[in-house]
Amino acid sequence: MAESPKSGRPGPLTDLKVLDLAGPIGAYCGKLLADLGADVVRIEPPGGDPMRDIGPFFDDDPEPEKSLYWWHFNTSKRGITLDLENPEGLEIFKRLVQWADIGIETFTPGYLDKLGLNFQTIHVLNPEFILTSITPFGQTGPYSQFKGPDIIGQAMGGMIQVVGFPDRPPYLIGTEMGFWSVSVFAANATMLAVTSRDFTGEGQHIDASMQRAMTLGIGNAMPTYDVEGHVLHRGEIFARGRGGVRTVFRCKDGYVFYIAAAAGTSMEAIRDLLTENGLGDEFDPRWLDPTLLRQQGVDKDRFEVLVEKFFLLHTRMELLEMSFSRTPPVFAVPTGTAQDVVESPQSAARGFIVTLEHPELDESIQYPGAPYILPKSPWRLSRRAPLIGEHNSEVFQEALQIDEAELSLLMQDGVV
Amino acid sequence: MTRMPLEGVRVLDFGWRAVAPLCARMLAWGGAEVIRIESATRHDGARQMPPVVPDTEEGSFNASAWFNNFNSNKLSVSLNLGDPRGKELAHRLVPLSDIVVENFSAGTMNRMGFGYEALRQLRPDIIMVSHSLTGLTGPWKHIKGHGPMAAAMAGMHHLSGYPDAAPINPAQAFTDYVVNPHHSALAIMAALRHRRKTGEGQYIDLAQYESIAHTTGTSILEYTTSGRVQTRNGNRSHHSAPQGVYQCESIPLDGRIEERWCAISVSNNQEWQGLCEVIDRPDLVGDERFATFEARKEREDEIDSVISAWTANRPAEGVMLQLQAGGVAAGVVQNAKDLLVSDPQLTHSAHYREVVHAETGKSAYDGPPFSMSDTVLDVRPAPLLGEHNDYIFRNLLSVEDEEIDLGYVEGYIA
Repeated sequence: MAESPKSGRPGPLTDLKVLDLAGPIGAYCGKLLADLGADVVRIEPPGGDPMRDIGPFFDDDPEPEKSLYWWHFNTSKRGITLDLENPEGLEIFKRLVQWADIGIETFTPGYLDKLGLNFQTIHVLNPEFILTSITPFGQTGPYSQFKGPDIIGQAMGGMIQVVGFPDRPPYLIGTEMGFWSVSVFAANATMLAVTSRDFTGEGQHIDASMQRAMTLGIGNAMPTYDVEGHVLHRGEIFARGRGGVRTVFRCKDGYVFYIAAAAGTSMEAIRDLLTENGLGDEFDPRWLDPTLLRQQGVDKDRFEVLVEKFFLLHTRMELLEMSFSRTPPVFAVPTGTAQDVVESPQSAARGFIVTLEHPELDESIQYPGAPYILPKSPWRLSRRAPLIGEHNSEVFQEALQIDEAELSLLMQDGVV
Repeated sequence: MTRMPLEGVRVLDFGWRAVAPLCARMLAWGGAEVIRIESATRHDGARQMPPVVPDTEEGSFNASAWFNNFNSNKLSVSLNLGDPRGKELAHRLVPLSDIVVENFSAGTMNRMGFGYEALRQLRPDIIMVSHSLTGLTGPWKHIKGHGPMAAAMAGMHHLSGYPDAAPINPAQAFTDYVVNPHHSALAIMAALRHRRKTGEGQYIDLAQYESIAHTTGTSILEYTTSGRVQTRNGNRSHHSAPQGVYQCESIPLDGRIEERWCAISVSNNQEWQGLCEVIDRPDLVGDERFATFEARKEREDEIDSVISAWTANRPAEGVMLQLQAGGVAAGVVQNAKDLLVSDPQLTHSAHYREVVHAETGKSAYDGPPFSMSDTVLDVRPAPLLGEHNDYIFRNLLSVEDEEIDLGYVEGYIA
């Protein structure tokens, strides 16, 4: 198997060359492939990609080379500039299609067509080429031209409706979870297409939709309507499904998340823990029957007041230690922040935080590490995100044998 | 019919509940033969998880619509792994298999006799993936529990909820359903490719804690570079304003009044102008108080009231369609009925699949959230518990009939 020229280590995707034209909705797809060893070439318009305008910024300095958003999503990628709307630029892009294996794009459906470049024309240029299109709603259909930032995908995919308190507006989850979700699925689809191509030699077109991606996250809401004709409300999810206590409680230095009266939990364990801490008298022995706590009502309220009283006496880390140093454990864990993740003993022991050099800033920056550990074909961050046009000479020479003289002409014409 | 991408790949699915079963479902959608290793004596609780299809046998292992949706395209063998003879039959499947997926707490598979080293003796190039809460190594490896606990620890809850209130568990175990299982499915496909090239299998360690922390946006980078800790922001965004969900005209539903909401997001001046025109407030277009993103961000509460006044008595669908026609990002906060019954886009893409299951009849199942131009992604019903015992014992393992009968009588096939 080919060794990665960058890391010197084998990776499962090191033989794959990817042209990455994705905006924020699909940027994580290319990162997933790049961090697994693929040679992902990020193509930006001359002057830089609009994603570079998204903050936060290093040193709070809103410079295109200091966008943490750009940094985060473009690790392990190389970067070139190319104007696809310039006919000469488009010709160069077509030559890159013949060089590469995969393209990732997130344009509004129809945009590539207008440039004279759709999957059919690409397929003629390079029958093995896999084109992964990532959009809010899909390539065709009545909403295909709709605008779709993250919140719209989460709304239309049914996610927002099931999240939040009944007496307050519903809300979206995480930070751009719609973008992340569709990108993870698009990477799965791309790997399915790569696997297929490894056997057949044929490329294909993938049409991934953020709306569809979010619908896979709504759990029991879809089947509940399908088989019972009941529309689940936010706030009703656990009351009808698994019941029990699944609540964020205050503690001495923040919050803990605690699950009780659910599968795998033990009411005896929390009783004993409360007893050891002088609160046993307040534990109602009737609660040893967990079904009492699987419905809204006085018992659940009283139980929650009692456990919070206990949690408030201790810090998050003390509670984690107390909860999991016993058998069976109490399912109470800290509600963490980014700081907690960076500083946790677990992250330290497993090397989750990874350092990348930013030589142009003379800085070493700590990044979130691997989402999975593959010991034989390692995930790695091979480099920080590319600077604007950083790999123009390298990539144009290597891929298309365009030399420095020709490149400077292209630059004069604004193509690159 | 084209060749399915994962044709010829066999997966043993020891999964419970969501994470590992959904990882295996993606592989099954891609054409792998996925066999759930199950037992009636110690069954996956998901097999009875609500919602249960009405008018089915009380206590049935086959009637949970939740389970069935999450286990499409799979086979099921029922074995009591607590009996050495049941365990031996499961071990005999390993040499015939390529992948093992599981989501017990760290160490459980070892104790059951199905740890990676044991499996490797039986199949040297086996690929195994574990989905433990915090990883197979490290000082927290003994922490076990449910997926939302990993989401809490990894910072997802802290980033979700109302800015003026405590963090919230978003109720749906979203990370169990989307991010974690599909990170691992991707890792497996990468490992399969590695194996095709090198002959080497491997043991993939997916820590839910790390997989989720990896997807908390720029929060880790912002902390490591500036020391600032990002927090929840409700429905708002750092790069769009106004952005929120706005209450629209309520509608009757199931004999109650259902609230309706529409999400709206404005990310530039052109969209702001579009918004003002659609909501009949052209006077605001040139208003200096709202002329820039920063100005709008400053006065987001004020803008929200203006938008809410306009949306309040309008149907949510109309709000969306009018705004989108005016070039403004808008989307109804859809419920499951909208998704299954009335959304024309999901209907167009044939997203949900009508599947006929032997015990529950017709149901809707999730389809993959993507289409492929050259690969037909079929969705087939979930298996009844032990539905494929005959195929697996007779065809795959060539077990004698007398032994199969004995297994049923003595309960190690169960």
